[in-house]
Amino acid sequence: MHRYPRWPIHLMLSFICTLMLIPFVWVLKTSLTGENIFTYPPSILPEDPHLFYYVDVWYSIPFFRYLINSVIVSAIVVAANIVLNAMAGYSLSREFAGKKIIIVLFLSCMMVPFQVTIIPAYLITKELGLLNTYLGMALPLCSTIVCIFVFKASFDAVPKSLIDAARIDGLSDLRIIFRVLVPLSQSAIATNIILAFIWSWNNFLWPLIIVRDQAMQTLPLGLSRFLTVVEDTTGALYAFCIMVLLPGLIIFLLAQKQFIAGLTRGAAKG
Amino acid sequence: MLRSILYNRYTITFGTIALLAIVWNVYVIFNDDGIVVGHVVTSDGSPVENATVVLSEKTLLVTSPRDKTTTDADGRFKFSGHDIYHVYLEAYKNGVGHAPQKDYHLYFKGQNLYLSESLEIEKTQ
Amino acid sequence: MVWLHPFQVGHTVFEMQLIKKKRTRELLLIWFFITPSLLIFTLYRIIPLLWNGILSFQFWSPYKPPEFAKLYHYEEMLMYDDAFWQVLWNTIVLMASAPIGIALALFIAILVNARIRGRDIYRTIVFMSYPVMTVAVGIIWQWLYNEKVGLFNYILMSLGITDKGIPFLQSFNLALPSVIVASIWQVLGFYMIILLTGLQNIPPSLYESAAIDGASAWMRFRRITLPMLKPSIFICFVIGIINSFTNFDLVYVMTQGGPGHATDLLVTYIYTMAFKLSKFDYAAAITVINFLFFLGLTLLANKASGGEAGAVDVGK
Repeated sequence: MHRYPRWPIHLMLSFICTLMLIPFVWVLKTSLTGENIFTYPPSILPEDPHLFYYVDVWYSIPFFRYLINSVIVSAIVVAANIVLNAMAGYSLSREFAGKKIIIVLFLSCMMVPFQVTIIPAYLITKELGLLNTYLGMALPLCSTIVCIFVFKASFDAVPKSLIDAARIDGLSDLRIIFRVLVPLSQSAIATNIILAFIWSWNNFLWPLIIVRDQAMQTLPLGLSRFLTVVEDTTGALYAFCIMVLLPGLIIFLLAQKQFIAGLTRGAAKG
Repeated sequence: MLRSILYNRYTITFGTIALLAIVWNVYVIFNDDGIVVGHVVTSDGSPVENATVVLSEKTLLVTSPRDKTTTDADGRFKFSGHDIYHVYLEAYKNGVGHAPQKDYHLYFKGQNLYLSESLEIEKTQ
Repeated sequence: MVWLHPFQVGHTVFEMQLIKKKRTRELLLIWFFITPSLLIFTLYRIIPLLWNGILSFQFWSPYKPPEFAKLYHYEEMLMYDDAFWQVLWNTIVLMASAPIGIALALFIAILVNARIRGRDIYRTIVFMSYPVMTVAVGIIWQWLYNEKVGLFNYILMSLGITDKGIPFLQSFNLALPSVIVASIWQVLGFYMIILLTGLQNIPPSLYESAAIDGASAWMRFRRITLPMLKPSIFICFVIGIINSFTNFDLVYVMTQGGPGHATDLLVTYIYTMAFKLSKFDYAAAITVINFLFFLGLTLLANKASGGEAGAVDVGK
């Protein structure tokens, strides 16, 4: 296994990476030069690039408003996720009557994908009066089973001797949680943050159903609406695409490890 | 401890972004009086007095005129206080000719624009 | 003689009361902590599931209370709605294309797993397509397929294969495969990561001893890699199934389900019925069928993999 040439692998991987990157590069290029129906054939490098499509997008659509909406909803979701999932994870790492039933309940909830619940979820949100509000957009996402189990695993991994020592020292349960368990679960918290953020940032279907005003739309909604309003393939649309992609991409690149770790752990868990 | 916070990749990224945003906004504040200064000449370079210059705004869909002014004795004109980001300028003088519409992209609303090229009036018969 | 529980031996009565009090407090804390999450799941998963079932058996209208409808909607769906069968077929086709994606991802994962410099960069680049917003991916691919300025048509035309652009997303035959290609592109990164994790868990000593025993590379692949990757491959299958039943964003943005119903999936059809045509009850019936299919297939995949592959709460 150790003496075969490396360069074919590099070559193939580079080719594959080029294939995977072509869509992004093409969109970036179009947003800089604005090739449209009348420019043919398209070229590889941007000729005569300019940033003015970005200016157009910034002023002609309420990009900042959409951005703020997305940020607020994501912030609510991430905060709620950390708190609720940690709490549930703590409960699941203790012994109590009925724990098995609860675990079975959670696992079966995992089998129910969000798309199956959209109609009644819409009706419930309407009854609660949360249509078209930040809380309404955030609520279904406020807790995910994958993350609960991530916290549970992290709390379970704390050696019992540590907890017993803390208890002997006279710490109450709450204090134990805050002083001992939480600081030891930093990777679980990080995973939770990044997963919750990406899921709520990219969430399209739920805001599409819930939001009625244009002013409350989030970024994905704004992007798809823009597509229907300006149906021409102009540079502005692609500038919008890039502006929408950039935050998610930056966050992903910063937190890759946690993101991948969270996904693989969630996929492998029962 | 302070070091680990400072060199953390998140602080660096978001810190840089915040810094850039602040610097950009400061620049914008200093340069957004909405001034457009230019110069109308004929095709042989002599300045045109009393030509009318029309300033229009172009959004994604329509172009609409916003302001009008006349040139002084040296053929210069000045607009101020506009908040347009995509500027169209057109000049004409009755009996002399008409300069074709030229558009200028700005980076932010009301960016000060000091035109180096002049608007050339082509003589119409 | 008082009957003593074994635990009570060695504790005074006072200590027993204290322990009981502590236990109650602890139990209170545990239940208090688990209630909010439980509430959210009840409200947004369990109740909707049940309500959906009930809705599918009712005539629902926003103006008057619902009436019992027996099997009216199911009859309408199965007997009279051609679009439903088309949509079901589309979903099944999308699901059946998952193995292609998995095979590709396996190939890439094996490449990335080799000990070369920069493999982390390759891994990140391939994975980048997944956390990116699906709406943006849809727009990008829609433009790639554009018949006048799309990249694919440009390549085809410069290679001389066709004269005019092929309307990928507007033709009845090519629309669904085009959407499937875009979907595979997006999920490739996810498959690759899972397979990579599985690959990295195979101890290299196995390969070495096989090489010493004279096994060729192909034999090593077949006899060691594939069997040890079985759980990971089944996880990918389950994800592929989930994807085909929940992939709303991409289809909605790329084709809106068109032309006709050629690219409609069950999810997009449900959305159109419920939120564009306001036929909540009919859409609920379709959702029930969607869910039953999904559940059946996932459980089957779990059984076939011989264990807990687990349903991934993909959340999107």
